[in-house]
Amino acid sequence: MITITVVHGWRILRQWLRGPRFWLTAIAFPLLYAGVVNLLFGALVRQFTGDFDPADATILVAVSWAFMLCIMGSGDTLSERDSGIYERFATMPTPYAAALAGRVIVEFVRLIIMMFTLTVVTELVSGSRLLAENAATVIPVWIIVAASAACLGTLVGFSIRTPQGAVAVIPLIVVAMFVNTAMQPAENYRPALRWLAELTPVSAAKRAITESTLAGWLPLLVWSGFLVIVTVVGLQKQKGKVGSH
Amino acid sequence: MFVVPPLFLLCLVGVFGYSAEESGVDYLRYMLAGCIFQAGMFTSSASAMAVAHDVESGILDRVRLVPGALAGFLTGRLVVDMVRMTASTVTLFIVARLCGLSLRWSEYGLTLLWGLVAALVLCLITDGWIVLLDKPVAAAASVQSFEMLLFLCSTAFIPAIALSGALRAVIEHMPFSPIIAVIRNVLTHELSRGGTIEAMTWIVALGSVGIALIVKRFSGRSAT
Repeated sequence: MITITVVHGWRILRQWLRGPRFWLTAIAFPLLYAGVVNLLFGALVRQFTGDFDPADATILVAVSWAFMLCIMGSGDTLSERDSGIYERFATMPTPYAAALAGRVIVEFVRLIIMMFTLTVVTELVSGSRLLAENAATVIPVWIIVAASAACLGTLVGFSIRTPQGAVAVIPLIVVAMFVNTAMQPAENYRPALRWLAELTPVSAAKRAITESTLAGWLPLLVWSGFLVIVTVVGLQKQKGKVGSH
Repeated sequence: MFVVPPLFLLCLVGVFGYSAEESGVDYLRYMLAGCIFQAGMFTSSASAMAVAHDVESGILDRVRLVPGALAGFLTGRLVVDMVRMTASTVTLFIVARLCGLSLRWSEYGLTLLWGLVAALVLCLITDGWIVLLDKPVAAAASVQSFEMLLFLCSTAFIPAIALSGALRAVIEHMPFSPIIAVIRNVLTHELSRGGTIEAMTWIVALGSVGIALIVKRFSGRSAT
């Protein structure tokens, strides 16, 4: 099973690395987005609150773009499904889970490349001290976020029937991009929105990085655990559908 | 087109509205203009995709065989786009109204009018660019991302006073910002005469380039 997982994952990764889309979506766009958040939204937050930490911009972009990227990747999964690759896996003696695991792992690798490139470049360019001061927490948080986002992307890729289906998830990511405590402190939100700002994945990641206590890690662990469980259950159902063809 | 601009309006007013009100800024009025322009962007990217499909499937070449039909085709396309933009803008008005915005009927009308002008110019430039390309459908898919990038680097969401130096000059005078400022002027009554002239210059320039590109593409001997 391990060999099939690696072969399937490597095949997808090689396809990605050949085209410009990988470099644009995993490297260029998140860096541009980080620039916009730092220079423009940061200036606005600074005007209202007097302070904006570039490290917060890195957390915001790394986590929200991880979810955006995994949703973009679900279109590729749909193409592979349409071309019948996963039906062929289902007819092989190797466990079907190998194909799914390959997809999750390669998505995880792409997200890790994106998150660490972004963190290092913003550290060099914007003066963010995220990795320098919090390496012990940033690395595990990035791994957990990338793993849960990779699971979500794979689940969406196996659940949609048209490329437009993935678009339905994007409004939720847009909300998470703006409503969080990395953009500005919760007390600057309308009172009715403060609880939501505290709960979104970006806020959970920021809390885990800045608070090294179990209470600080709990929201992130709940989010990632929820996404992994939903993915495992969802893909089990998908496996049943493929097997019944 | 009907979901994302209202969602941006709700999110950003939710995120910055409270702090802005504390600072004496009516961020809802400020944001509405940016979201109307964003609706125009989505209208133009949908228009570009529809035109791209018509070019690749050969419909446009068949239309060209009938004398005078091409002008009718393009006019029809733009009329449909303006109807979509109107529906999108009305959706934004309803959401803004639910958030507490109160406007006079004349302000609704003028804001809609400027929104339509902005959408028309964006449709002309994107459609004009799309019809010149070899693979229009693939290019049309990236129109929205490119427009969104420019849009984020404008004064749509960020007041120019929050910026300084060269960055402020660039953001304030990039093509989208003056046009958004004209739409916003109806809501806030703050635009200078120079700002209006700059916006009109961009509108005329972008619209003319769009028309020139379409004429260039269809005045040739063969469409493909």
